[in-house]
Amino acid sequence: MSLSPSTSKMLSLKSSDGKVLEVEEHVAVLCETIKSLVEDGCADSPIPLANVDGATLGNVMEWCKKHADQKASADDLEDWDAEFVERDQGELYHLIMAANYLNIKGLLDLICQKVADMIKGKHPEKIREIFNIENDFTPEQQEQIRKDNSWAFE
Amino acid sequence: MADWANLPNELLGLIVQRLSLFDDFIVFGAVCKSWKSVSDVEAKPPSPPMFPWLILAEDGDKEDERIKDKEFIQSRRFFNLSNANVYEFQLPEASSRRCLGTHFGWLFTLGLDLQISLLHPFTRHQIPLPPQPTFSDQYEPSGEFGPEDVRYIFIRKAVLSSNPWKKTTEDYERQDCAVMTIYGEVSKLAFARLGDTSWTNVQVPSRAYDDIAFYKGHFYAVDCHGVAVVCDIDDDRNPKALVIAPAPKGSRDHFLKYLVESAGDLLLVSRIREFSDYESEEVMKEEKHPYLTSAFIV
Repeated sequence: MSLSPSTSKMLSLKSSDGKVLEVEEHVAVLCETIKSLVEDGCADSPIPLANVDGATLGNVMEWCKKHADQKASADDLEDWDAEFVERDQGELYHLIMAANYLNIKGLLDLICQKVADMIKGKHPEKIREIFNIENDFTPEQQEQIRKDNSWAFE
Repeated sequence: MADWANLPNELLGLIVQRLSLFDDFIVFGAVCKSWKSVSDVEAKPPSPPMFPWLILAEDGDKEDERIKDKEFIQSRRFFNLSNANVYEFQLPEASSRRCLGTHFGWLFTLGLDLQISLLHPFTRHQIPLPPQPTFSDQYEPSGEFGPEDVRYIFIRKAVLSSNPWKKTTEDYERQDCAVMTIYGEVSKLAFARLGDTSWTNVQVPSRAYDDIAFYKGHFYAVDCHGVAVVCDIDDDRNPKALVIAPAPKGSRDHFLKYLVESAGDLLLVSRIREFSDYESEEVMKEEKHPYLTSAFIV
């Protein structure tokens, strides 16, 4: 199925906080979850997406729109993606959850790579700070981890 | 509200897989309990995304002032290929021992006393193997070669069949793990299982083996002619190697043969060394003779 943008019909998507977004079908079907709804003919209007808030849905569709654009070159997409993931950890978290729920492999890969890049070369304390994670190890457990792998914490 | 600590495990797994450095991997597991549980699962060897480390040779320069420092002598240095960092480990167990290849994170180490053991450099676990003098075909005792020389030439290569340490049982899996070696003056094959007291020869149709590999449950070897064999070591009284593939056409004995697993197949790779002049630079090119899995019907 390849619909050109001019003939593509519109789909309505409804976010968890009740916002409705009109999206061209050839863009929305980059989400495997939506694609199977459309193919099975079960796409209600609007399609309720209970796990994605409006702001995140807007970001996801922005990504889908860019990646549905046949004219975009690979280099162009790479640069665009690099800029797209320059967000705070809160937005990235919602994007990773949404990409997983909507089953968009390309976006999921992109965000996972970004998160991995944010972790690389840092100390556990710094990582906890970036991602706002509580240290739930007991002092003994922590000491054990350090002892086992002292070289990794230098 | 973002809750990174409780991100679903499948998503944490996707992130961990994108960490290529072993140190990042360890740090990931030190962040919080749920991240640790994911990195523990992903740490099951072999873990392909991790970059290899090279163990650096010991500094043999006796003039070096640092050699007098006991701590220096007892450490070994490792080179991380992906970030070019050198890490120094307190590793007295490997001090002045010859390290002969790694498998599943274990080093095959050989001391001046000709004792052999497997050593895990991170956990510092050690597993003794039968010492070098328990191989047959020992060199004639002579004044010319000391243990220093003998240990450098006697064993050419050693390969493990599996990781001897089982995470699940926290114990060594003695029955399952075997070590195959190319040894001696004529490069024959011998193996030992964990707990054995001596090395057992494999009856081989040839000699001058160039390489061995463990592939899908069996040890394979290739001799200098390019003839490939599979080892049957299930019967301890009569371990033998059977020819499974003839030498590839056009193979020359002076091409070094390697057995390489790639994309699920075992390949025989010949390294062709051409000498344009006796002391001039070596010209190397690779020639692949793919043996697909179907060719290895045993």
